[in-house]
Amino acid sequence: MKCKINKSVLQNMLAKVQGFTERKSTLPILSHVLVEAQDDIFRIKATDLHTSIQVKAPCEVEEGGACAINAKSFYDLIRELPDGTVRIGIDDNAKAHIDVEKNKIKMNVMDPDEYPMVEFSSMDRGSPFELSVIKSMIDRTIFSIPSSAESDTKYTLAGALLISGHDELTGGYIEMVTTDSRRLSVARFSVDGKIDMGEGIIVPRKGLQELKRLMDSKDEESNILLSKDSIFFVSPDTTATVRLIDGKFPDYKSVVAIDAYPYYTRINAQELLSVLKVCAAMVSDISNCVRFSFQKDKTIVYANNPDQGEVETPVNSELHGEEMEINFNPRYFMDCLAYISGDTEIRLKGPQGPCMIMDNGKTDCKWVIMPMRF
Amino acid sequence: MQGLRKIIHIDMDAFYASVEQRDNPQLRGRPVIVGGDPDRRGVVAACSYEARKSGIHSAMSSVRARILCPEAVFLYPRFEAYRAVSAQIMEIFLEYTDLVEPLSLDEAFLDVTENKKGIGSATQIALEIKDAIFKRTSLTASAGVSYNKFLAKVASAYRKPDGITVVPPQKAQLFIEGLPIGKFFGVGKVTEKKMRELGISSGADLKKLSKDDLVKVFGKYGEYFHSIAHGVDNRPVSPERVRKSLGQEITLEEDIDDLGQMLEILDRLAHAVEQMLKRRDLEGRTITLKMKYHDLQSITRSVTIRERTNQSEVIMKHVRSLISGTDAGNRKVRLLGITLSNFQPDEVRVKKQDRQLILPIFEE
Repeated sequence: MKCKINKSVLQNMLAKVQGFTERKSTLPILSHVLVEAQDDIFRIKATDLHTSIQVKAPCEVEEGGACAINAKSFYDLIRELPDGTVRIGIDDNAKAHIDVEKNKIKMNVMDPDEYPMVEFSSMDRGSPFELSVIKSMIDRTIFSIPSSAESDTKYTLAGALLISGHDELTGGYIEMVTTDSRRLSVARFSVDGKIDMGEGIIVPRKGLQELKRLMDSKDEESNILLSKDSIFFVSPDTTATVRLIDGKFPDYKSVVAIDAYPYYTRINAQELLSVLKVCAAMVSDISNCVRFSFQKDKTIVYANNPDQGEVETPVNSELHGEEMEINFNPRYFMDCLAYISGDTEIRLKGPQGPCMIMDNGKTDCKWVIMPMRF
Repeated sequence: MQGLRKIIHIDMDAFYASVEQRDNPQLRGRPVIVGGDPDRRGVVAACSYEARKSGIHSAMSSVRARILCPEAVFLYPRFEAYRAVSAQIMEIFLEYTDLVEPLSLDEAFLDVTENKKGIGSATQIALEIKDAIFKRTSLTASAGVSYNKFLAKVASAYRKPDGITVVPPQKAQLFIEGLPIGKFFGVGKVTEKKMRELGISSGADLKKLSKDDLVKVFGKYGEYFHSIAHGVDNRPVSPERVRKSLGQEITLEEDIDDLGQMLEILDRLAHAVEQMLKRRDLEGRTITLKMKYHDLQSITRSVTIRERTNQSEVIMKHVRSLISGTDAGNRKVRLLGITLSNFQPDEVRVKKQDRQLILPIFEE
């Protein structure tokens, strides 16, 4: 292999694929990326066997070829190099020669044939799905997926449930649900036409994070394709796929049933959010909570940190039902209030029970949050 | 910053087996295994150094031990004898300091930063204690001396039997770096395997990882691993026995058979237990109802709930269903009691993270 590629182009490509490698695996090859140069196209492929990506860019190829090279080392190196043209070649001793201006670097590489297959052929069976809907659903639910350390083994919580359905009033919908057992997020969006996802599928956390990153980067002309076992992200120079997993997601219907919450208060979401931000600054430690005192015409938010001080702020609100005081982790509220404009309804069950934050605006999203004990 | 502490960890050598060999001269020099019957699916509780040479270790099944070492002598444990020795060594410890934290019958931490004999050298104290133990019990112990519990504990296991290992602060880093990962207190087989998969085989490797990385993989223990890898362990030597359960019971002045009356009494007990729990900042998951019938037959009924509690209402809710599994109402009762156990571990208690409730769909 012998080729020339622009340094910043290469750097961007490497940045994009980093998250798709698996550094902690016992298979060293998974911490590598597959680099291919052929027909004046430079391709980088990466996979952890569940999420895969391929990026490509034009380059000048003198001699086609491929190698597997450590993703992080390669990226770290390229970042530090001066702008200009990178010349890449491979010798017979399994070394890549990377030259930019006066810099001459040799890096160990692995046999490209050992690299797991990264192929996107099943993409043809996927049907296009509105990217903005997928992105909105991920944004509104990703924060309540447990980290790998805390995920439950009994349920497939280390991912988001994606499920479709049909509602008498609103028609067809698609719904993403996540829970870390302390809170639960449901983002529902209307869809035209029919999609069938059976009992629902699970999108693993890592895949979701990578999809979000790709969608946040606002590639032009990017699309989402949905098939029975994968989600694909496709743009002119990037193709990525997340393999969906089968799993048992807890039956969450009873938690989001509106009848379970007889009381509610109506409050301005952004006003409450700004008050909670102040409280969260006071109780930065996660063991500390914020007390919500739901009263007839206002909600008083109170935070107390024995080491620092206290904050107490009333927010106008309109309570329907009994007055009560409940402690919550303010972060849980902040995560979802950020996505609500105008008024929100906080539905309540009782002083020790969960509350449900509703966004009945453009979307139909619900967040259930369990309180903290006094 | 406070001055460095002086911590000693004393660990008796092959304790149960050594007591048996001491009390029965015929067993000396022979492989001795104390534990369960190999014919009845027992396990090895302790074994003499002669038995260890054949690869036997505690917690191994007795059957396997017999295969490895057919000539070994199998003995049932005699806990009275071990407890008597334990009391003797405890007495010795208390001659030096009141800050003694027994971990089991045969090992304890001592904080001798300030000691009753005014001895400046912790090594000197450790040697004196070893000497006193041998003089009074004819048994040997190994000692680890350092400036925190983790290092003292690891050090005592470093040279066994009858050894002493001192890890002064200036040598701590080198000592930790050279330590195989399996020797770290808190690293069992599973964690060791995980560590090795991550390329961690020694303290030096462990040190290279950031706290965030360790927390990502090992959860709350990640922080602990990060601290000890850097020689930091601020846990105090706490003489207070770790409480396993807390309860209240009452012998009634007259035997009763009225269920309503019993529940009234139990409600008062539950409130008392709630107060006791709150004073100690404890919450338990297991609720036990104790009852003694008029004929002195004693029974207990218990239930383990998902969320720890210290609330009398929660306790009573479960007591009410527990009582339905007894003969209360049909037989006269002379004693009633409520006990909470299965408390949160210390680190949780400090952080109080479990004040966060979980969704009802995740409750058992």
